[in-house]
Amino acid sequence: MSLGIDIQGLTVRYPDVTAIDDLTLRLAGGKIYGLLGRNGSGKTTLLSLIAAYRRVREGRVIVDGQEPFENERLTQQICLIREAGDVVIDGDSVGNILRRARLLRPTWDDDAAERLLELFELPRRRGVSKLSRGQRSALGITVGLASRAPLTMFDESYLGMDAPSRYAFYDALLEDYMEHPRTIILSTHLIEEVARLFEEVVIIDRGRLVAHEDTDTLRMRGAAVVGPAVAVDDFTAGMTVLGEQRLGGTKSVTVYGDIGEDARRVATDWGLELSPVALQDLFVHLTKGDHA
Amino acid sequence: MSATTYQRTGVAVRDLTLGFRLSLIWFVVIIAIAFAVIGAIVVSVRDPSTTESVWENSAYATRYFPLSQGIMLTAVYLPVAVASGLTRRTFGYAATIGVIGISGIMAVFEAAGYLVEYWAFDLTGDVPTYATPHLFEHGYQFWISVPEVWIVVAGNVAAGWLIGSAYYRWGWLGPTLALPLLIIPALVVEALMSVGWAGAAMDAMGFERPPTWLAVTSCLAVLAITLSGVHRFVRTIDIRPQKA
Amino acid sequence: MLRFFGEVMNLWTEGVCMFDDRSPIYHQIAEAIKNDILSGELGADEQVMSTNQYAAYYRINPATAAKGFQQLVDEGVLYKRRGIGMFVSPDARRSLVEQRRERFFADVVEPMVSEARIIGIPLDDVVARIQAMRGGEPV
Repeated sequence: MSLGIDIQGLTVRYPDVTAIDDLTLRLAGGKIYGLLGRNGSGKTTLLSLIAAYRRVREGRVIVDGQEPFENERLTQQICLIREAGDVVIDGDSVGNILRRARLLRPTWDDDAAERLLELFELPRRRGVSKLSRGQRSALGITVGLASRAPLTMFDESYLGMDAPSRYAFYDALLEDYMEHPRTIILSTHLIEEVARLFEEVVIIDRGRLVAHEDTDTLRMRGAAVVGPAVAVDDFTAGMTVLGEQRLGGTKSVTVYGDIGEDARRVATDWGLELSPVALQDLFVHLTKGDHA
Repeated sequence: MSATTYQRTGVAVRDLTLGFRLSLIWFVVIIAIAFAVIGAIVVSVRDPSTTESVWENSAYATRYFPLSQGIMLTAVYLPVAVASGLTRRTFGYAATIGVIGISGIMAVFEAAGYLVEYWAFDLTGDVPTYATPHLFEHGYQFWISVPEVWIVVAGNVAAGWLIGSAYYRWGWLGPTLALPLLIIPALVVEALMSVGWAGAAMDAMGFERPPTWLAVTSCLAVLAITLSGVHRFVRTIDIRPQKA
Repeated sequence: MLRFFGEVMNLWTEGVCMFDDRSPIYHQIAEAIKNDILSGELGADEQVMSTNQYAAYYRINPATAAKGFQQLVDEGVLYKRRGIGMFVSPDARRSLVEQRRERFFADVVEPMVSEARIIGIPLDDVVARIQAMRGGEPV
């Protein structure tokens, strides 16, 4: 059981900024998606609209054929963890928060919750106000994973967690996903850490869709062309250039787009080196520019 | 209401009960002890000829404490409810039941106090007299005091829910300016029931207390309009972004 | 079964990974399994890891792993037994060896020679080095 998402012409205007700008995006169910974007790119707003945290005012958000806002059939199947705060009331205990989720999430798995509590060393009786930031994040992750919601979204849900805990989260996520396939969206800054978990990657910038690709395909789309400046300039003419660097007579240009076999042969003949670009770098190139 | 909404409203009500349980119990215990002590002191020092009710003064506490609970309802519970997959509609049903429940508890508590006070005065052959107007004449008439307090407190909690929701939705400035408007449901109920300072103001202006049946039915109407209005309003509220 | 891939350690914590950015990961998965078949670590008709086991072990998306395995099935290196899993084709090693042999001169020798030319190593030196490395190999 997993939910697909269909977004059309979605726009969200805040008084001072357009957070989502005519976004159209279709995500098939049952995959792990990486949602990448810089701070303020609209990731949280987008996820909040999908999860019915916010009302759609311009455009459409359709999940499994229906609009999620005030739709109980859907909201009980959609789980968004924005850090941990939303599922937490100060003064609640860890156990009480899990109890609430168990009662309200039809797909809740108690054993999974128990395992995750142990994994993250969260004491059931501890009050949430006494948890560290990382522990609160871990609690959010516990609720998010054990809810087994057919559409599960984590919005930077690892804040304050150290590297071992984050890797434990990724492992738990992957394992749980394989046992219970569902649609999962992870928004993150730490791209290199999790890129291999993503089947597809969605990059947004200033509320607009920049890329939506199969992860492998996206990675292969970027290339750094290195060689004598003149040859590099000739070779990359007409290509989408994301960035360039120069060191003496040698130039390195990062391009975005498919480079066919023929072009690769030409590059070799001209003495140019084509090297791939890490997803993180590609992301930086694709989303740089003025963020006033 | 669909079966799902019904079932989930039940869960949310239980959840709210759990959340408010502790503070309500504390409140009841503290007020009961405080008034027992005050009562004892008053009895020991009072002029034997005065028979003024002491418990009547607890009405302020049992009105404004639940009002503060009402103010917190949306801010505290709406984000959790939505994050747990509840709709705002279901939250609204649960909150409505919460408003009626909290004021019901206060009504029973108040009526029990009047009853106890009546017996206590009765031991010395006295009958407590009340400074503010009430629907009941004697403290033992709990079948009148319960609905009276219930309606008045519910008016306050409903107004609190409205105020809290407005603050959650619009932030600090607007609702603060509009506070006199937001408190109207509570004032109207108090005026109609001739209690509190709204009731006193009506008295001072020389208005006659409306017939009981009219006061009660119009108060119930005001309550129904307020609660369903807040319910509708709450269904449009966006969950706020997290504090950084 | 894990042992067969055991020489390649993959630790999240150190960012060490058997996969690099040089080519699609599914392609690298296929290559890794081919190497295991060539080196004899995976024998004919031996079962390979399931895509999920593979994904969990190397911490990659199972769809990516499945794509790599599918490529091997398409190439006839692996075959599927419904409900049981995937196995190494009986003649996988032979055909892989054949393919690699075909590619050997184009992929390995020719670039080596051109590199030697560019940096000015006489081909005789290269041949001498190869002779020296021959050791006990049959001629």
